[in-house]
Amino acid sequence: MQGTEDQLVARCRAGDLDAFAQIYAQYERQVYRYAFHLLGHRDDADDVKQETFVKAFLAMPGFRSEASLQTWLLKICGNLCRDRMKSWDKRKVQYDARLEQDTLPGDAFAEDPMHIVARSQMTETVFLALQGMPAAQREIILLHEVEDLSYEEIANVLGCSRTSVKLRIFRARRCLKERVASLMKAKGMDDVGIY
Amino acid sequence: MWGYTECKAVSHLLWNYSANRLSADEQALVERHLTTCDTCRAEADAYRQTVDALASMRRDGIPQSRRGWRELQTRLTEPQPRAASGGRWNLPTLGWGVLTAAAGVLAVMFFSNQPISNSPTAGQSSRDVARLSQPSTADSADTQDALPFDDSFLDTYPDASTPSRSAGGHKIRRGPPVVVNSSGLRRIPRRPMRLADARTILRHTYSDGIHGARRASARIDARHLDGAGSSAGSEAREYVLSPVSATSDSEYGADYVMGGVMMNGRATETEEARGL
Repeated sequence: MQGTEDQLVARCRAGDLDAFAQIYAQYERQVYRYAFHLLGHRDDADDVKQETFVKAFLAMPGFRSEASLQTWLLKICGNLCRDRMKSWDKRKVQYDARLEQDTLPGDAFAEDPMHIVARSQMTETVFLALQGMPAAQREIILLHEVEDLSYEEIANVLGCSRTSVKLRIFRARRCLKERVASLMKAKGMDDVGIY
Repeated sequence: MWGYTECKAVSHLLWNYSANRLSADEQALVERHLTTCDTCRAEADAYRQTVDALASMRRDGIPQSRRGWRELQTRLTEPQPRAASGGRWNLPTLGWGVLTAAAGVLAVMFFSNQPISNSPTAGQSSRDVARLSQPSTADSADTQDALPFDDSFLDTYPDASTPSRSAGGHKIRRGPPVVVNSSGLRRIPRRPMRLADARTILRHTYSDGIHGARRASARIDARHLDGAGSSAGSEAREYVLSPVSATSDSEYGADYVMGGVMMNGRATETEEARGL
């Protein structure tokens, strides 16, 4: 995999758009998902995704393969998202993200509808709780739990130490747990476990 | 006492246990504890639901992206408006420009043996150089307008220099002035205008380049006028181009420009104008 990536990067450095198309196909969804969850806005996520790949293509000659392409792309995407959120803070832009409720998993018809509804509600609750978290905590939860990056990879993306990542994840989880509990209580769903 | 200590030790592992990220030894420890502790078991169940919900965000739920490879490919292959030097009128660029223009003037004088004033090309060049070499004035934004379109229509609109204005029961609060950065980003006029004009400006401002790219995202806010003060009747609307942000991408050294008009009334229609 790494060998293939190196070859693709080498071809991209030579200006080969076909090679870059393969990189795009491989990581486009992940970059878009990361931007969408960070920004909470579909159009902005689209913009940031495109910007990320434009920057990546132009900066490819300087890419030293010390990090994986995945973490490098997420780092660029995260920087662009932070820039955008800074401008939002000044304009008081509201998040308007919505999860698509009509998306059912492939095995939906083989499952108890009550379970599907309960899971859907839980997903929506967690999504809302995430959107209400501070951006830095939301970002680290997304990287670790949604994108499934390791501590080292997250440290690479955020430019901090592994110890710092562990501490931030601990705090972010605690924050998420409290928010989910609060939302579930507000929705009358507090009959589930500790929530 | 021992039970509380064990609960405390295990509670730190419960999230990773729910996410199947523990080593075999830790997992055995947690499972052994969960068989005896109802509180921790309930907590582990709750964590598992949260972890499952987060994992499901990885698989589905988010809308499809509207912009694909074809659009990106177009952007990557189209000729860029600015040179690789950053697209800025920095001192070296100006220096070379002055030298080139001076050489052109001398060449025209030498070959044509005519006064400079009779040579329109040379005159034009010298005027351009003179204009670019002028020190920035108080309203330096206007000197940096570099967009290739006729913006004379802006003069036909009412002056927006007043701090606030009321029309149709709505109040428009003026935001901080838009700064024109060193990449020559055009100042976006903050005054009511026709929708087509707002689109024209935005289309030219939204110019993504490679190095020293100019990028502005803005929003066209439309609001119905209630007839009062409007010459076009009940269908009249005012459109205000409201810059959200404008960034100059120069290899992560991005600087962005803030400003715009904040609508402090009931905006009845908003048109997202990104990517026009």
